[in-house]
Amino acid sequence: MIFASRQTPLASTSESALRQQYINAVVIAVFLMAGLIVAVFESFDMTVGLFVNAAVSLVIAFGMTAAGAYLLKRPQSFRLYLRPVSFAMLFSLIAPHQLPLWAVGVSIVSILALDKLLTFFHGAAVLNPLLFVYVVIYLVFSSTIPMDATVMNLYRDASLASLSGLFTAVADMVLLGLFILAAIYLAVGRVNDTRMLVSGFLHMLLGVAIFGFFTSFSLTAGLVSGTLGFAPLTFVFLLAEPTSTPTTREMKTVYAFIAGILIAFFAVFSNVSQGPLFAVLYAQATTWLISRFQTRTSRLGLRMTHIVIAFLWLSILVAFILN
Amino acid sequence: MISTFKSFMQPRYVALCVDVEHDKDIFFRAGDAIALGETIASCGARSTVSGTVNGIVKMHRADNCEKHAVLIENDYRDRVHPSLASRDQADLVREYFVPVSKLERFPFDREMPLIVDYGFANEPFVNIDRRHAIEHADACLAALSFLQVCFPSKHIECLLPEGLDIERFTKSTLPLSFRQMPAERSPETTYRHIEAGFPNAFSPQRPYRYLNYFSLIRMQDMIRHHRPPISSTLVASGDGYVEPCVLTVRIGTLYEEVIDIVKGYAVDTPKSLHRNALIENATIRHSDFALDAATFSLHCEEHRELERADCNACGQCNDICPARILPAEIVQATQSARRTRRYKSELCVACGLCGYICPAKIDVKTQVLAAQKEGR
Repeated sequence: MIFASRQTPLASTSESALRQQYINAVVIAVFLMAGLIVAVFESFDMTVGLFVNAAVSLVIAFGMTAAGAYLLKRPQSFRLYLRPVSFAMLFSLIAPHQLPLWAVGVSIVSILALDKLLTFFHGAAVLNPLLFVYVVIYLVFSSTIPMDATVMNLYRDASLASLSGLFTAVADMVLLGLFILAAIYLAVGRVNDTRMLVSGFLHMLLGVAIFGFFTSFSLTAGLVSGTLGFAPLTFVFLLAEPTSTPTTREMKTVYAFIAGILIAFFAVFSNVSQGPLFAVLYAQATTWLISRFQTRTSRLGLRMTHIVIAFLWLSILVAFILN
Repeated sequence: MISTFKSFMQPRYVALCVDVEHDKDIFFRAGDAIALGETIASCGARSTVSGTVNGIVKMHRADNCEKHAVLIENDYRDRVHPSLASRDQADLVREYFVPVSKLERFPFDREMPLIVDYGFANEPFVNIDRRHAIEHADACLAALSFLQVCFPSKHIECLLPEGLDIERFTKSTLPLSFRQMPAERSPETTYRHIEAGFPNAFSPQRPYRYLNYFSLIRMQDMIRHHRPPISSTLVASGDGYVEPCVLTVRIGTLYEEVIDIVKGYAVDTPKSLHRNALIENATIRHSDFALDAATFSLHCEEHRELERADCNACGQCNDICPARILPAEIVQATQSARRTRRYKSELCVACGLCGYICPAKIDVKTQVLAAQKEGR
């Protein structure tokens, strides 16, 4: 006799990397579309450049993954195509539209190869290959191509010119709103780590406030520099992505502190608009170092980490006051 | 701080050191229920908590002295009874994270004989009242009937004290064989009897199942108070099921009926089926079985080829690990052939929580145990 009644639905444990990668790819695709809309309103050349870059990147990423699957004679699921696609779409958002197509192609190939190599030799990506390749592109082309000419910087420049520019450009507001929604969605969907995202953002705000106040830097300009331009993309997609970041809660807190303070430092003291991207790359470069300090978790570890970080902020404040 | 203190006072596992030369002198085996204050071994050591014996391990002390320890899972989260714990035992309570992989498992096999011990008359916790012997016998028979559903055995041997109504047992249709034991018997005589009746019963190759009086009395109380153990809560989880859910099932329900309720398998050939995945994690080879009272979860995994880079280092396994090691770091180090010794994988208790929580469905426990075995 059947005597079984369903009590509660149980969430399947397959809330998996599969679903996370789908969410990530879909969110980035939405941003690509939004970027195209913004570019249409701002500049026709940028629209064409962005579209061509995205198309070339996607074709190369698909082609490389398919070729790898064919050469290795190993059947691969569609899931494995999503990470290269995410790389390609993100790169087309970051890269300037004047970038030659051969450079776009070489960049995508390098990103995918670097990702495979890092994963093979280290078990996980020690730093984001997309950021690493972008830095190389920046160093090579910064003297010939204006690297700031991207969709990300359009509304940042408008906002820096006049604060009302932030609220007048409708397309820019749509993009900013999409970023906020994406941050919430990715955090709730557990694709990205909420702890790192929120605490990194708070550390950045605190750093901008302290650095800006004691260096006669405009606090508004610091906040605009720190929160607009490449910064939303950095916070939403790169700072909180788990692959290149520490795996323990304590070290995630330390990582968020380092990333936040570096972003604030670049926002206040540097004129480079790609500062947030470089800051996250520097923070990721410290991941392997700070992870070596922890071999087991401890019950008081997270609390002690918060206390130490608060003490560090107090020290920074005192140092600025004394100077 | 308070939670740390509580977990120390109410540990999940208690390892009790017993001063015996051979593990035959210990009266309990893996799977036995044990009561507070019950005599564990011939040396007179008593249990400091109530719960289930997980196994017997050889523990190396700091003074290079090898001793046997009985690992008891503290089912009722008892506080360690201070008057019962000797100094040695109190020291060992701190080391309650003994690797469970080293312990004997309670086997799940119908062919093994079941020995039901109705208790020692000289034990303080068994008060066999002769005036209520018939009532005891009825309750005992009812408990044995349920036992036959829960743990179906072809042979049940009852060790009964004097005074219990044996006629009622002889009329039973259960495959019982009973033996009346003297009221003044000791644990040693019981052990000798079991060894005589079942040659090599204590060897790992031919285990037997021993149900002591504490479990029986608990079942009898449930029956007397009209709370018979006829149903239990079952968690059917895993990718292998179409609709994983929590069920209330009657004991004895066939597994085929559970499959109907969860809308069948998600794939044609599920990778594996585990019973009590979080604690026991026993692999079930075939689907022809009925649910017993001890089964509270069935975890069915989907058969899917995992790729090398499936771990996206989310760190959920690190957060949930009860032994507080870092399974994610161990997996990454294993994949890149780096050294894993610094992550102290030998502290793994093989609970399987890491693989259960993993969003990429990586068999983390196997990799950690492999690193533990490899010892690089």
